Amino acid sequence: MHLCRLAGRVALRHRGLLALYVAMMAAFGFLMAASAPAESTTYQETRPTVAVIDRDGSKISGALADFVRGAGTPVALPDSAFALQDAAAKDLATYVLVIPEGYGDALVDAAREGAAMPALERSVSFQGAQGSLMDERTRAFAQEIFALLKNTDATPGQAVAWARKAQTARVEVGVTEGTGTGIPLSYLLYLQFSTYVLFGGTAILIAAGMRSLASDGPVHARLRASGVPDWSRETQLALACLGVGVMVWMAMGVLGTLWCAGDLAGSDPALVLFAQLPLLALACVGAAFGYLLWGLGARGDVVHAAGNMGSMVLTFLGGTWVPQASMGAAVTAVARLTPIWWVIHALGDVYAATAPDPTLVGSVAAQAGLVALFAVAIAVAGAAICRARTRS
Amino acid sequence: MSHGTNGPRTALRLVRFDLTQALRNRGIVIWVMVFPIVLASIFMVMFDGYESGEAATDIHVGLVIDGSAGTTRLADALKEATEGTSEGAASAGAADAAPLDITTYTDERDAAAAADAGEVCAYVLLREGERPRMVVPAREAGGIEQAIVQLVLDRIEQVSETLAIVAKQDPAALARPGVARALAASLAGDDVISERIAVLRTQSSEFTRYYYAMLGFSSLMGAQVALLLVVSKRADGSPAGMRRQVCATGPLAQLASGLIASWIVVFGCLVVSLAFIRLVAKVSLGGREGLAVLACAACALVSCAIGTLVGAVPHVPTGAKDVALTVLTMGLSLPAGLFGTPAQHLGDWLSLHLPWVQLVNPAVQVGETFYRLTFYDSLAPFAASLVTLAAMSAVCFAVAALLMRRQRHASL
Repeated sequence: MHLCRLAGRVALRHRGLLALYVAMMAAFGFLMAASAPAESTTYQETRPTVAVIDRDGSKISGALADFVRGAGTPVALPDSAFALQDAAAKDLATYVLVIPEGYGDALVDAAREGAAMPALERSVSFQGAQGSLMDERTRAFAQEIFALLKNTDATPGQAVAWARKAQTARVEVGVTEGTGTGIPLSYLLYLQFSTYVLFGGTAILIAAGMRSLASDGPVHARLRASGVPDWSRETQLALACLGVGVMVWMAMGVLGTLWCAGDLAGSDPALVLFAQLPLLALACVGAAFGYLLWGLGARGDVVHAAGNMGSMVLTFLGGTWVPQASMGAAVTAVARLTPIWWVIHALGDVYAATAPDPTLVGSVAAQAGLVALFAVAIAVAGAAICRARTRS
Repeated sequence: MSHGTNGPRTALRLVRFDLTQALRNRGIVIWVMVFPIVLASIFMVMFDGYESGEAATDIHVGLVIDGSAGTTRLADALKEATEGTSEGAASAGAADAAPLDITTYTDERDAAAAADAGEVCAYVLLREGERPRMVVPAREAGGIEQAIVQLVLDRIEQVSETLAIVAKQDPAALARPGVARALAASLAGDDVISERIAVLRTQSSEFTRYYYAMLGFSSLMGAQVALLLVVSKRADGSPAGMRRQVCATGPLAQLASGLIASWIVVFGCLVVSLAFIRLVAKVSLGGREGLAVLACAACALVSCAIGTLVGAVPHVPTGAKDVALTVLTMGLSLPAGLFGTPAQHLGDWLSLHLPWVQLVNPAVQVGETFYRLTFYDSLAPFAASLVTLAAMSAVCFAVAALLMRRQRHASL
């Protein structure tokens, strides 16, 4: 195992590279984790940011404005085209209700005399679902006022008062009784982000860190001239690559546990440990990819480009940045052929669980095994290339 | 040698050599030219499902009934109201309006297990003589799908409440034949309309942000070009730089040619990326394509400035500068929203609580420049972004100039 230790020492000489790719990337992962919304075991209704521009000033328009501001998180918005554009473009206000001049009187006329129904105006930012939901609620409230005006002799003031009172009747919402505490969302985000480092970072550390053992002519010649058989030399170098992968995996695991220690308090340690299994398999894939790049004799900038670009493409396809459930069928079909898709899927299974039951263990182990098969396939290709280059 | 005659020719020759040197570097070709197009292609394929509506899915809801006549009637009413709401949302222009898919359970434990497993977003408990109750899974409480279900149930509750209020406040009205039924129908109706107003010059989409963040990322990656050329001309950067420092052409002229060449490369790459996302990915620039090219010029300038600054840092090996710039690019692109929803939340949080952090982040400012150009009527915000980028470039160049002092061959 002398060569294996030697390769490990050579890789470890690149401490700067290690610190940048592991510590810095882990820090970015922690930043993402820190920005995760606070988890709550009680139901809290979605409250989008809202703004109202009331150009009518009637009792009915005032009631609508109060309703919208009460149902969302109100933000002040002046009645100008620039302000409306700013709100919609930057999502400063997810839902903006514009009540046109004369709306209140027109609604009364529509209810009492069958005149044409006036229209409210709305501006919804790109968070369309929340804005549409808010619009549904606003229209439901206005519909109550309209129905009361149409079918009773209530004055607009009375109709508004009755509709406001009716709004207090809401369905009771409870939560299920969970049997335990799984891993927190912030830690899941950290684990998801670490897929970038475990694949790309590991590959770069190996391909760049151990480059001299493959590309430096005299060093390579001395290695070949030693009494170690070819198969033993190749195996030891491959094991060194695997060792680097395991080291990166351990570093990311320790940093994640330390940084997310507060959020992890109360989580089942078995689940936290179990979540590392698919990541270990991914680190092996990263090591195999690094071994392949190393075998190909890739140098500095190409190694960085291949590692980072490969990582970026695979993490996008795998669902690290965009939820897998939101992907179209065609993208999912392609994504399933990539290792990170299975890692993210397995992490999702662990996140959804509250305890490591046999079904979860079987499912995650199978997915980790599948990821490990990617590592084997890439490593075999790398070994074949290494052997071919050695012979040539 | 006559500088008046040969000066411009020498400068052009230097720029040509620098361009050749930059374009021969495989890493730069991959990072600055190929990578943005690969990333934009991935975005295009991934977001196609969303924009075509293919990715919109049903909202799965559980319904627990005990089989009594009362709860069955309530369940039918709920299903009817559900259909009405979905149609209403669709007619209101909600592109993402998804129909509710109701699964009926007779045992609450089964419904709770389905909710905890994520098979249904919530379940509704209907019991004879009791008011409906909605139950959501503890781990996923507060989602938009649950809010939609709550809205449907609230409307049912509020129709009953309004009828009770009218019966108490104006009993004569309900005493008239058919009024109670008409009022109930009207309360559950969909007469009130709201129209969506287009305030932006072009329709905004949450996916546009990815493309603009990608342009920010590409701009920063373009700093590798300036880094390469600056390092190749500095005495402490490379053996070639050391030789160049003692050649006939002054170091300032060499540096200037390197910066011009790197600006041309990055500008060209950004324009190609922009053309790709405009023509292939169909990302709108609001009909301001000409000004978008101007924005590329400003982005290329800030890119060169950052590369020069990193290249000017003394006593650091070139490889380490290369890696540092790559990691810096990743880090700065994070709050620009390139890395998905969590990164966008981080960016939103920073914009709200630490806006100066976003202001000094070139990746964010590049995205912001294109955003302002595309969506705002006024060009004043766009001009402000260009000024910000120019100011960033000036600061980077100034610091780089300070760092480069006393790094000539004779001084080392």
